[in-house]
Amino acid sequence: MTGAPEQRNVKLTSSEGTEFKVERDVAEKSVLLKNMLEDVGESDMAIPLPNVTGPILQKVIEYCIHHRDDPVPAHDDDTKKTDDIDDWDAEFCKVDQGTLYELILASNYLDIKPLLDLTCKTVANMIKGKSPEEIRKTFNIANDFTPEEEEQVRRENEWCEGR
Amino acid sequence: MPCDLPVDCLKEIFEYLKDKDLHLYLQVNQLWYATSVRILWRKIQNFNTLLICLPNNSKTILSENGDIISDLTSKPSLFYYTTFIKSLQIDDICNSIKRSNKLHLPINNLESFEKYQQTMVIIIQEISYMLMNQTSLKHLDFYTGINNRNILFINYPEGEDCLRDFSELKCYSNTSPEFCINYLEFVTIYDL
Repeated sequence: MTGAPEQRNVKLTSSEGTEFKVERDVAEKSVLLKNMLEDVGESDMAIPLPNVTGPILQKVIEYCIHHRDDPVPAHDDDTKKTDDIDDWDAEFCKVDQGTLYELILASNYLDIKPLLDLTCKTVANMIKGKSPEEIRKTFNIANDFTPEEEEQVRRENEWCEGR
Repeated sequence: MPCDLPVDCLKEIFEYLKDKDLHLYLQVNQLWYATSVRILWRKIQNFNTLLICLPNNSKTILSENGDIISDLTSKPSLFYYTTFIKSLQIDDICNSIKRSNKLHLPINNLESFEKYQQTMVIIIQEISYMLMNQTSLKHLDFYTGINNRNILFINYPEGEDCLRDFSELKCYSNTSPEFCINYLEFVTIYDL
């Protein structure tokens, strides 16, 4: 690390009140925390994260430590690839579905774009290639369309011929 | 389950899916439908739906033109699809009009060809006007096989807002120079 010699720790509190200590550059992977820390300045107060549970915060911190030296991601490009997940990230995402969704919510809330991208890609890969019926079964989703609406959805979005 | 995720997060996931998949997922349930259309309708998906979404005054103009056949009185669309459109290819509209048999104009002489072109221009004009009011385009491809000299796009006050996020304009040698100059002024204004 070539950063400031005495890096201050930042304290974070999960929804159950568990306290986590992380180095400032790790915490700053979260744009939400980065902005907060810039606004608040030096403080020993723990930052409460009422939307994130301890086990999820632990995972998020693990991700941020592993990726602490990554460059700030370039601004949204239009190409969305799902096959560029490296081994460490793939291993990191080998968790149950519930945990994966909580990681999506946490990275969305904390504004950690690379983690949000990774977790969304992972779910996209789970969805790809399934039929609507398989999707409903896999994710336990009820079809809440009336038959008329279903027909209207189909008609209004019918792909133009020749595409 | 993804259905527990808020719409923003579901949309982030869907950004990684192909149009072909999204088309299937329109039918899963209301939430998946609402999320998929936001992505799919960045490009026009269906010309008939586009006509149904037209404002009433445009529908009146088109109905009054006896050469256009369309069920413009059908019930309103399930969604304001047109607000999501980011990319417009004028030629796509022309081709859709041709394919949809909405014009019953036999082209057998120069006069009927001119009439055909005029009607085409009216349709494109009304669609452009609607989009200007509802969305901000990123890409506009102005190639058309028809004489588009008369198509106005930004000569409305709303046109300016529609080009807020503009990043690409494709013009061709049959696009009138006045038209391009008009756009270039906007490009300068928005410093793109």
